[in-house]
Amino acid sequence: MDKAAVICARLIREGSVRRAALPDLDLLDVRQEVEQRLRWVGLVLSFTVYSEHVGVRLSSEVAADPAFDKATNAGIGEDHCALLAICWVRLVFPKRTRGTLPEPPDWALFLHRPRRWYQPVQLPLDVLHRLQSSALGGRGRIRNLTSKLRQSNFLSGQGEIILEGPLLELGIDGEVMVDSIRRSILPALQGERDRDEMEPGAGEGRSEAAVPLQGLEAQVLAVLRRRGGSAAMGELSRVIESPAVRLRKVLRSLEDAGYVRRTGDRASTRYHLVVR
Amino acid sequence: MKEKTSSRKTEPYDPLPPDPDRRGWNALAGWLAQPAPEEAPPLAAVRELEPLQSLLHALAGRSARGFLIRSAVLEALVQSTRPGFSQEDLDRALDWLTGPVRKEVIQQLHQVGWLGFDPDAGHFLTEAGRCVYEMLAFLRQLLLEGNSLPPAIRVVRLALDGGLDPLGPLQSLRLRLLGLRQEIDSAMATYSEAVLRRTAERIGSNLKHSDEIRTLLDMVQDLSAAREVAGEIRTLLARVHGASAWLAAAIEEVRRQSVPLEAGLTLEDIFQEAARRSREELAAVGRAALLPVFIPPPLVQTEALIRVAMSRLPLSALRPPEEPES
Repeated sequence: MDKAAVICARLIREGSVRRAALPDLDLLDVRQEVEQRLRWVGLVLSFTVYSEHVGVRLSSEVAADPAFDKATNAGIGEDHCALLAICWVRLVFPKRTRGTLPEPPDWALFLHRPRRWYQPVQLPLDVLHRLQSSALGGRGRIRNLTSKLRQSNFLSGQGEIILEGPLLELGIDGEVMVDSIRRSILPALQGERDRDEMEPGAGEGRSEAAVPLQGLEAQVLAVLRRRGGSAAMGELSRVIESPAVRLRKVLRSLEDAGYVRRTGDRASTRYHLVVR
Repeated sequence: MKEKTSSRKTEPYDPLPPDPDRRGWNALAGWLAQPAPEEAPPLAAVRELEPLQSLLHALAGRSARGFLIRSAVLEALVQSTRPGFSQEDLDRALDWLTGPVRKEVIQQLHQVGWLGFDPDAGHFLTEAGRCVYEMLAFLRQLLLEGNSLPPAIRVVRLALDGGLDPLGPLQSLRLRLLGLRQEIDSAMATYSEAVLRRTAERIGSNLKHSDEIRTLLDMVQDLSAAREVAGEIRTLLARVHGASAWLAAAIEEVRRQSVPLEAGLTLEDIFQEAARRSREELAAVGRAALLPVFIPPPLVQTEALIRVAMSRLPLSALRPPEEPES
């Protein structure tokens, strides 16, 4: 059997295959032959730099039929779609934030091949349950939804740990997701930060100085607000990615200025946003 | 010559590291599976490199700055193109060093044997010194060219034009092509537009030599081993060409989808904000982003089914039920 036929057979049988397992797909004539064969049966080759897999999906001619529904085709419902969006943000969006790291000099690229920057992210079922139970139902319901998405190859991982599956990249349009984050989530976060920074010091028990808060202090207030107004040191340290020793000083100054109230002691200490 | 004075305090120069373990070829037996090192072809092939150990040891020294100074001194002495140096000539060629450091470096170079002294000619660069300089020049060229193909192509051409066995040079060319192919994968795994672009430029400039490589490969006819490697090079060249198309698509994709995080914003913030959205909003986003995926049809092959069944079920469950005795 020729190379293109074998590749097509594997792709149709498995849905997605690791790129490294199909070295012949590098050869332009083989790739063109594969694409042509797939096109004959209403499929197209699916590739993204963000995935180690290459897969197939239905061609636009097939999907353009008005009766065609992408979710029904994938065998998933509304709740699955909602869960997919959340999992995408947690598990694969971090790859898209790479551009901010400094680039290595030329000689460094020669001596040390650029290393895989991205460590696969995990999403514990517990976290999903804590954040989404009100929207998607109890633990059993979320487990069922996850299980279906695992069967369909959108997710992987076993038991309580959810990992990215090949289709989370190949079956979800990254541009649409990124566009949604840029349009909706980032402006909301920016708005919150602006509000935190411009927060006047006129609150109950606060000092009279109306100096906008900046830097770590503003971040601490923003995180407290997002956590429903209360958080423990461990959470703050993890989210802000700053050591507890440093945060303790910041929190003390926020407490003195009347922005934050502390309850509990030692391990049970919690910090609360003072409501104006 | 008047010493240059500097208001800065001169730091002590990098002393030579302690003498390395001088045991070499004759002391290898303790580490080998066979009694004689000659019986291991890779070891036999590198035997003549033994004298380089002391040269490299003296060159590397203890610190990078000492290494840079020694390399620069060699560079200065070679560039001056003199066969020998009086003390004054040396001072002039190395006047970019402070007096005490210059003195120590020259002493050190004499000590390691890179500089010699002849009463008539003065100080001169020895064979060992020239050897180290040439090694450095070669390594510098390698750093500049990376996995680039032209040096390997030149060597293949030299071998073919001179009627020499081209197998070694062809293998080197194949390795470089393999390196280029791996470079593409490594660059793609960084998700960095800058790295991807630079890799694409490097690959593109190397692939300009494809026709030249193909012409050379057509000239390889005699040896079957060399012909086999030539065939592999043709395939690899085609693979690098094809993979560079992945690279072009990757650059465009990364350009459109990169989201640099502004100062203070974390991935956790974004996740928490997304998780706060309503089920309807999340479902709408997920649905809009969903592509028409292809779900593979379940294909059952009898042999595979039996294999899975045997691995999962107890043997008793697979036996046909016994016929009741009539």
